Formats: sequence, structure tokens, C-alpha cells
Amino acid sequence: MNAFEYTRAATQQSAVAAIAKDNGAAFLAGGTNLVDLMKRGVTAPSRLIDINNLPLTAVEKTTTGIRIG
Amino acid sequence: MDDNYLDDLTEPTSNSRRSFLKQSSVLAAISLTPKTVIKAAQNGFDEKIADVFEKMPLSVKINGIAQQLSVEPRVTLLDLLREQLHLTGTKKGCDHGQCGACTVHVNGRRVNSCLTLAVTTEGKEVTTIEGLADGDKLHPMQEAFIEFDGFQCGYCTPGQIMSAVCCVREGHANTPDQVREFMSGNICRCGAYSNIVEAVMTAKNGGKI
Repeated sequence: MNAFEYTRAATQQSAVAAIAKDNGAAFLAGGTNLVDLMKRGVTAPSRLIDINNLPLTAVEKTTTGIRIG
Repeated sequence: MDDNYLDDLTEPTSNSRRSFLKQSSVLAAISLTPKTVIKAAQNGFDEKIADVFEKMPLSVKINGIAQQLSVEPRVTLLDLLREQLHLTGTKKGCDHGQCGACTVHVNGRRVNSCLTLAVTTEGKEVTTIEGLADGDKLHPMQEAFIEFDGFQCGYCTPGQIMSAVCCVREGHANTPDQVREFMSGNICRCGAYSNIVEAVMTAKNGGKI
């Protein structure tokens, strides 16, 4: 796995701002896909922005579809 | 069970003189090396050279004991548990999230520790198979696995038991078919599945999980 910078996002706004200004950054949530791909060398983000502590865990049915996060 | 693991949790485990010499010789080599080579080495040599690079502080509770650790961001929870803390009950089966042998609880939810970066457990509570029993008194799920012979070689078993405890607590162990579905992430090469399902159902019906 490549070495990367690791940061924890405190707010949704700071998470979005962080990813917007860094092309090599990726969001890290559960990691079941991303960490696996990083282990196999398929993907190698230079920065991971941990969004696990953000209140984005809802899956809601709306009138027009499903809202995730 | 190895009682020494409790000592390992409070003391640094590496031979400090040996690791100091290792780190100094690597640092000396790095100071004489061009920057481009360092960059290449950083990505190629993984654990060995990575040891002298950026570590982060990590504050996590493991089996009820608060730990202040220092980890590199790419260390997985599985490797932290096994290599740094010598809690080898959790097994490395595939290291890619496919077998479930590495299942532990993070804040009460079952996760594959091989795909969990240790740094994401900051401020959380981790429970491993070593943390299930109450001293010498086995957890009801452990007792059920023994009673119903829910294992052969035993390699998948810690992961099965950790997964089973959460499966019951989630309310996903109402029928054998439901157990099979919600524990499909824990595979068993020996094929002890029928006994595992029986153990889980019995433990669930015992009401003490």
C-alpha cells in the first residue's frame, strides 16, 4: 500500500473543501472497497479524508428515490 | 491463553536497542540518498522503511483497556492487533475482506479488521475474541461453539464467534436460513457450517448474547 496523508474531516464542508483542492485525495468511509484496492495497488490516493465521524449514515426513501448519506 | 499479552499492552514490545540501531542506520542511509530514491523507497519498502516515517498518535480502547499507540496511517487494525499488541486470536485469512477470519467489533459493530485502517479507530472501542470471555468464564457464544462442535481446525473460529455475537445482537439470527445469510461473510474451509448454525441458534435462544 502506498504511503498517504491521513486527515479526519470535522465537518461536511471541510471534507468537501479538502477533496476539491486535492486531485489525489479520496474519501475514506468503511474502506471495504478503497482499502482493498489500495492493498492490491490498483488505486493509490496520496491523501485520505476520513469521513466516518460525519453524520452521513442515513439511507432514506424519498418521494423521488433514495437518499444515501 | 498467554497471560503475557497483558504486559505487552503496557510495554513497548520491540527490543529498544535493536530498533534504535536499525532506525539510526536507516536514517544515516537516507540522509545520504537523493530525494527521488527516498520517494521510491517509501512506496516500495513498505513496513521496514515506513517505520521511520510519519507515525500518528492513536488513542483507542481495546478489550476495555485504554491504549496510547503510535501507528503509521496504512497499518490495518488487524496488523495492529496481531503485530503490535500481540493479540493473535484474531486471524489473518485472506487480508482482503473476503473470508471474515479477521472479524472484530468496533463500537459494537462487526468489521473486517483487515480492511479497517487502525487510525480510523481513534476514540473507539475495539473488542477482539480475547475480550469476549469474562476472565475464565467463557462467553455463551464460545460455550455454544464448544457444545455443538462448531469448528474443526479452528482458524475461522474467532471470526465466526465475533461475527455470530453481533449477528444475534443485530436481530439477524431468528432462523437457520437467516443465520446462514447474515454470516455468509465468514467462510470455513473445513465445512463446519451446519454445526456453526446450530451453535448460533442455540446461543441466541438461550437469550444471554
